[in-house]
Amino acid sequence: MKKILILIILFYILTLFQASFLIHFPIFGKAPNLILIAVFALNFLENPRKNTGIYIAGISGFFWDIFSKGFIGFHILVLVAIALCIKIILRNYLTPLIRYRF
Amino acid sequence: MKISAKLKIGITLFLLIAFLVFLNLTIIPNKIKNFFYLISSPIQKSLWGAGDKVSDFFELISEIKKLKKENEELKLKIQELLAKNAKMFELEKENKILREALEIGLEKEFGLILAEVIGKDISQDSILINKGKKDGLNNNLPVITQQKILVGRVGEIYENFSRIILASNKESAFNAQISRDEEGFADEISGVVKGRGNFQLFLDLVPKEKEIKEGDRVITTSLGGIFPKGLLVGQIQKVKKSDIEPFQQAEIKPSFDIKELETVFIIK
Repeated sequence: MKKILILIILFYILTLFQASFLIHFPIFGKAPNLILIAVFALNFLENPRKNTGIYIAGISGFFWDIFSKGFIGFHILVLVAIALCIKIILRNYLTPLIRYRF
Repeated sequence: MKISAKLKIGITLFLLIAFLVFLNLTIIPNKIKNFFYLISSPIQKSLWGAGDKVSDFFELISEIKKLKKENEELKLKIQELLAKNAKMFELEKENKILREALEIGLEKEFGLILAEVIGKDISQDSILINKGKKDGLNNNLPVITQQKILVGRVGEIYENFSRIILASNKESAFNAQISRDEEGFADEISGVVKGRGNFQLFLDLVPKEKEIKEGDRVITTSLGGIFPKGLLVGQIQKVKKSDIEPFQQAEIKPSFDIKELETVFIIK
């Protein structure tokens, strides 16, 4: 629970950083998306049997929705779908090959 | 056991989607967004300022070569404008005298509300400002810069904040006309300015027989009812004519610089 709370605060700060700081540094017209990279990295590096990455994907999707135009929910669904896909691939195809430390 | 786990995930996802659809049909999202903007605005402001400074610094390094050339060009332009300004001053004086003679009151100035830019969304051509419903803003109010250059219109409105849809947003389309620094230019060339996204604009539906040139100024017309007449939109960059098309198109270089945009005015 403590880990999830820390991750929520971290992703909230990351979203603010993304929306107010990184936006000044577009590459080919698009700002680098740290939220997406972080969600991907978290789900990829976490033990595939754990679900923290999926919850955090949903919460960061919510933060992303807050700081972008449009309806709330779009990025939640996108990030949760990405996290689920990573987990499914890792659980079914890659787990026997990798040993996870956390 | 496996089927029940899959079913559980399916039901959870379905409930989540249903909840989100229901949530977006109410005004709750606006309240949630407003709350988060309110608690985040101090951090956002400092991050925005820091980002602005860092990007300015890097830009300065990369553009230092161009600056010298630009400086010389600007000096020439200043000279040119000073000469024009002197002429305008004389005209203004004459205008004032004539107005007084005819007893015509000065044109009513716009009611302007100053707002600070606290965030921007490059992918969706929109910016976030620190004024909202509480400050008397409504949807579709025009937004301009200090130099009376069109920025866009109020898109989404929250209690203390508003999201501005930039003129370059794909949803944006409005009437405009051409203005040219040429003696005796009185031709009324009008068209529709459409946003292309990514801070790009283009002028469409200009009759083919009308001549538009690179460098022509594009200004708003009051047609459509959203923007007042005479706001500068940008300059013609490239004209595209095709024998098959009944109308000609032109790329517009927007006059506002999104990187420099720190404060804007909303016309009430």
